[in-house]
Amino acid sequence: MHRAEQRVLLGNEAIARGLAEAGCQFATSYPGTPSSEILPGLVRFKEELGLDLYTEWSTNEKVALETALAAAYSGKRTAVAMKQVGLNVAADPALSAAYIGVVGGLVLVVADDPGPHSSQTEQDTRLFARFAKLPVLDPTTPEEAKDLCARAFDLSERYQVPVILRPTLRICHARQSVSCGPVRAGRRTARFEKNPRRWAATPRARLELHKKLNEKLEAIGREFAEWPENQLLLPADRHALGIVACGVSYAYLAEALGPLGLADQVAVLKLVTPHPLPAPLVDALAERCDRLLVLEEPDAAVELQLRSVAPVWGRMSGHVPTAGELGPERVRALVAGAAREAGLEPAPLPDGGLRQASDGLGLPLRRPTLCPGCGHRATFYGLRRAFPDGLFPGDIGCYTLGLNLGSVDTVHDMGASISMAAGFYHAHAQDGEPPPILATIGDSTFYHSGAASLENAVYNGARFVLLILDNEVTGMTGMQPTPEFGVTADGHPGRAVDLEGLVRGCGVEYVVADVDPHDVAAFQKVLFDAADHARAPDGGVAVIITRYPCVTRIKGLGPDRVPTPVEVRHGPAPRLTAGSWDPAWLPEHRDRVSPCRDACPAGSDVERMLALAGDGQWDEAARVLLEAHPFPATLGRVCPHPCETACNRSGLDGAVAVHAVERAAGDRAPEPAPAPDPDAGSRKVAVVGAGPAGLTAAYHLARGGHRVEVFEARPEPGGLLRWAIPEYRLPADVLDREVARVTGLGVQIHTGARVGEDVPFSDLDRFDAVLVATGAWRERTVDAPGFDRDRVWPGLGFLRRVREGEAVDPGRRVAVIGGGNTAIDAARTARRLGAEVTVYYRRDADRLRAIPGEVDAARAEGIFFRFQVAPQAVEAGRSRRLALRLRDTSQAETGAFAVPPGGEGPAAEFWVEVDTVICAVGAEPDVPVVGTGDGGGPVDPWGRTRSRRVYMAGDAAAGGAGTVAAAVAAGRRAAAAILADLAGEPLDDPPRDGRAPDVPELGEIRLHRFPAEAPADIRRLPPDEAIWSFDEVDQGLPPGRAVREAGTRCFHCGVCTRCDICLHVCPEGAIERTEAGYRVDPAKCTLCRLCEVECPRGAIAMPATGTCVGCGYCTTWFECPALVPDADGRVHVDDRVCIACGLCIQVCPQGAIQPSKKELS
Amino acid sequence: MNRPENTQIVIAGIGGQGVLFTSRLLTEAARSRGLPVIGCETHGMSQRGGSVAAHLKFGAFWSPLVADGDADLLLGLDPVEANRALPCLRVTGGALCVVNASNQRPFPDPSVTHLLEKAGVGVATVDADTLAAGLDSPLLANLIVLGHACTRDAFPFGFGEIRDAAEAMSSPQHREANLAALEAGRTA
Repeated sequence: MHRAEQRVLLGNEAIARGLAEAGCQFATSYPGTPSSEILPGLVRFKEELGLDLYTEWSTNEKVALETALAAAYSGKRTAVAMKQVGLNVAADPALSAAYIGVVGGLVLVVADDPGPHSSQTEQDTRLFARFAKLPVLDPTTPEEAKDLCARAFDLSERYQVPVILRPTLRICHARQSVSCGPVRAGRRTARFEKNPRRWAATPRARLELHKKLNEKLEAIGREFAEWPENQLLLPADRHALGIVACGVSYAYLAEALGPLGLADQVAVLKLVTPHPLPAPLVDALAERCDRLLVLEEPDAAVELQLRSVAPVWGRMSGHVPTAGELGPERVRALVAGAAREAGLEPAPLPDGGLRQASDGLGLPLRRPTLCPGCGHRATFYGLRRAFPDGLFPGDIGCYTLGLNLGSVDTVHDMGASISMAAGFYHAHAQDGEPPPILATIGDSTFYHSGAASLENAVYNGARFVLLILDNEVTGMTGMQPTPEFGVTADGHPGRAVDLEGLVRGCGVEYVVADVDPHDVAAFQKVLFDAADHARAPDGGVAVIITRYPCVTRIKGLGPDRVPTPVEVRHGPAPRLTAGSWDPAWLPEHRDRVSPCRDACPAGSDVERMLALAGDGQWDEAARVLLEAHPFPATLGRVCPHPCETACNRSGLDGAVAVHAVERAAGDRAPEPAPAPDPDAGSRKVAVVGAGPAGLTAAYHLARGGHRVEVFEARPEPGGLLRWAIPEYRLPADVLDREVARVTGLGVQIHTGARVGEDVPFSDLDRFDAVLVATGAWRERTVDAPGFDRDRVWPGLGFLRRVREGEAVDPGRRVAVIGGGNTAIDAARTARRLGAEVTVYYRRDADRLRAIPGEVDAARAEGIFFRFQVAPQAVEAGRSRRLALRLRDTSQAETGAFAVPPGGEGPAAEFWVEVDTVICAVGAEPDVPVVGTGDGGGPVDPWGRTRSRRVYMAGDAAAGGAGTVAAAVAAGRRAAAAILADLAGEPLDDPPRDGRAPDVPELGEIRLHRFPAEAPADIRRLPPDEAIWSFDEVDQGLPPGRAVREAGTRCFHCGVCTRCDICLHVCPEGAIERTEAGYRVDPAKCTLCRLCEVECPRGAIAMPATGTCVGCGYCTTWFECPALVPDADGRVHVDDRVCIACGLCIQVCPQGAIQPSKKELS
Repeated sequence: MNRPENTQIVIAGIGGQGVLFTSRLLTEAARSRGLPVIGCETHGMSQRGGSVAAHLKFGAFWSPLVADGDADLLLGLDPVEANRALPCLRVTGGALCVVNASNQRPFPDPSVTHLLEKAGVGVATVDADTLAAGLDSPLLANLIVLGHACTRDAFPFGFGEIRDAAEAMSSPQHREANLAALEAGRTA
């Protein structure tokens, strides 16, 4: 025989022990404070006593009760444990079970939470029991709760009805010495006896069952009167006051009566069976008392039933507060007050004034907060930071505390986050665009009741982001396992239920699993992408599963994360009062030079152009380009686009296709303004050469109010744009339109007028200034034998002849020598004339000087390349007209003795037989200019020469072939110099050499704020089609796509776009919009610097102090218990609680929180 | 000879300070004496960084809670929480409060000093945080307070009883540090 043993057990463990001793064979539960320790207690005693006991954490309370009912139908003693709110979830099976009943005893342990301490409601399960018509027991102490378990099983089996055991929190979480005895003998085997009239009763049969239930309750009430736990104490014949005390209230009363000196004067009924009431006991009490005081929690379950029996004081009469926990002090005061009112004289209790003194200290209320290092903090912090204006439906669990961080707006009931997110969406969508809705729910809560809500949301077309916070356990209630990991209540393996699979099974297509929120920027990116999906036309519910272990369960960060102890730097800080900051510390919105604009040789404000194009304002976009030069449609086609090389977006997913947008803007450029009177100009300027440099200068000079005449040697204007760039790159009509833009301003172009031949030099004397922009047309040739042969053609000459319309036949095989743009243009032109072309270049492929896109196109068109070959000679060929002799230099080291003389050097020389050799190895200016600098060029970057009136620009000045953009830039510069010199004004800023100061770099761009979007695909003629004509290969972008390229892909580096993000993220509301942009209110700004950190494009200037400024940002919006504010508002790290998660380093925008050099103990 | 019978104790602190472990040590000490124990703990939401208090009563009691004015002993693991728990102290003479406090975080508040004197409450403070940091165990301030309490006559147990309880209740890897903390409190 097992000997009774005294053990100190938690109330819930005492209940578990009571259930186990009473022969419970089957137990289910869903954790919830204050009931959570019951099932673990059963597991503990099962192992300790070697019991044959099935235990399960069910996915929710309804499931738990239904599962248990089946076991009870089968004859087993069965227990179900849950908190009071859980019974709401299980209400449906509970009410039906009262009618249908059980075979084996079923004890439903439902823990109430008067206060409430950890619950949404103060609901009274005893009232639920009365509503459900179930007997309910209300234990006074843990020990009594344990003893009532056996009684409850016995009662349940005798009356074939489930019995509720209703402890309150003060029982569940009390700890008491209890005597532990042996386990009841008699294991039962499952036997379900079929009886459809009972187990599947129809409504008609239910009426009979209801009647039978009423009879059972009457009998049970009579039986309760005999229970020894119900005690009626009648110290006198007649009592002015009788007290009915239920549950723990009786414990308070028992300790209060003595000190109040009332033990011999009041009648007391200790009542553990609030429903059904033991009528004989109640009647006996009422007969001997003038009035009754009822002490019960949390509501008036007994008082309600006694009102017909006697005058009753209680919660309903107003004698007892209508809500809240009673507690010993309140019971003492209530009993003393009632006694006095009943004419008795309770003894006064000593009062040392400590309560009043303590209350008067104004002690700070410590609200519950997430544990230091908790991954939920990372999730909620990131949420709020990403969506300061988000709508955040929350749910039930530890993560309810996200409300402290401003990212939980509603907390209702288990699983409501999802249904409410859907409701919020539909309600707002009725009126227009809903705010971003981001719901949060824990993993256990999602398994509990999230799936049905999610199915519903998907099915009905709601759009929101759902975050499932997966910390691998049910954290709040004591680390119970969830279905995800397949470990059952007693530690045995079950079968894991995959969370992501479950979510997808609910119909969600967008799921991002295993997200670690500890990289704040990366996590924001995940959130932004999900929100984009929720908004997208083909989008819907987006689910993010964040995953990290509960730090409290694993007692630290876990093996995957490196502990990072931190310290808060305290240095000389700006004065610590908002409103008195030195303005130098405040944020300032300012526009900087974007990298594209900085890189543009032509000086175009590329960023502004993109901004306008992205807004669909094509006219305005074109006007921005026309500020710099008249050739937007041309440069959009032929410029190598250094702006794209500089583009910060290439650090994300590829540079913005600026050239395509520029071309689109150029093609849509407005008609030129009507020609002003050509005689109206104040001064006269001659421009020699109508290429890009000359025409750009003419354009600016005309706009500057001068009469300009351009002298062009060739029959048509355009220079190399017309004669050297093939039509498949730049169609003539495009060029004609742009030239017309210049002549439209009144510029006269004299074609076929070569100065010095067709026009005497003296003719230029009538001009106030002369700009020489004659280009570089004298072609270099290869200095080797045979390069003066007939079929050896210069590259530019070849291109010019083709463009002049001459019927040029290069033959079937062509060799092109060179690696610049002219070489590639010549090769592709020869290809179009029917030749097989090979390009020979003396260097590596990666040192080709031609535009890479052109080289790619050439290859695609079937042009071959041979690198590291040096031309040696051109000789007469055998099968073809010419033999081009080349030397392979790829094997040779640099240096004179790389190949030993007479040694076994490689057979380095070879020849190819071709019909034509085209040499494109460079060109130089062919016009000498009086008064030029030492090298034959200008003497300053503006293009001035030694002669006061003469200026130079373009290739003629640069001494060789540059890009069109460089020529345009030089033309613009020369025009500026001429304009200034003619006006007698100084030129302040010399043209910049190299990068502007303070150009935003990639690191300043908050990439996470920009959705990924690959560059636009430029439409091109297919190569096999392109080679049959001179039709333009590059077809550009359709207008809509060009708008998108500019509108969604450009970062607008360093330029404020009025995106309002600063305004939204400012925790103090210190930033307001003004007509001109934004204003920062110095009285509100706390210097937190979040606006600077969150500005997507580096357009806010605000110095980082690297020291704590006491702004309160981290303590308010991160709220880690380890970051403690001092009296002056500055923060220090409490090493007692810090677990070195290091996340706060990313939180402080001032950079005041840094890794510390302290060692972790 | 200490007399733990009919003693009522309140332990006040904040979540994570070890209020529950302190309570279990005292429970074990009482159990060793064969005394009936009843008390109450804080679980769930309130454990998360908020104010946490444990109540303990040795002897024949019904209620798990210590009513205002009934506590013979208040252990304050944090001075603010000790101030909050002051009303529990018995004011009829002989009660004791032992509090983790320092010059920066003083106890008691000057406004209650005379009330405690008038009520005959003995007050002892110990800078357990600093001592714990010195032991490289910032989380063991609770045991330093407990060890320090043992030096007072009004404390219901002898140091040996507490040390035995700590030996019995500590996991092997923490036993040595726990005992060192108790000793540091005793000699502080």
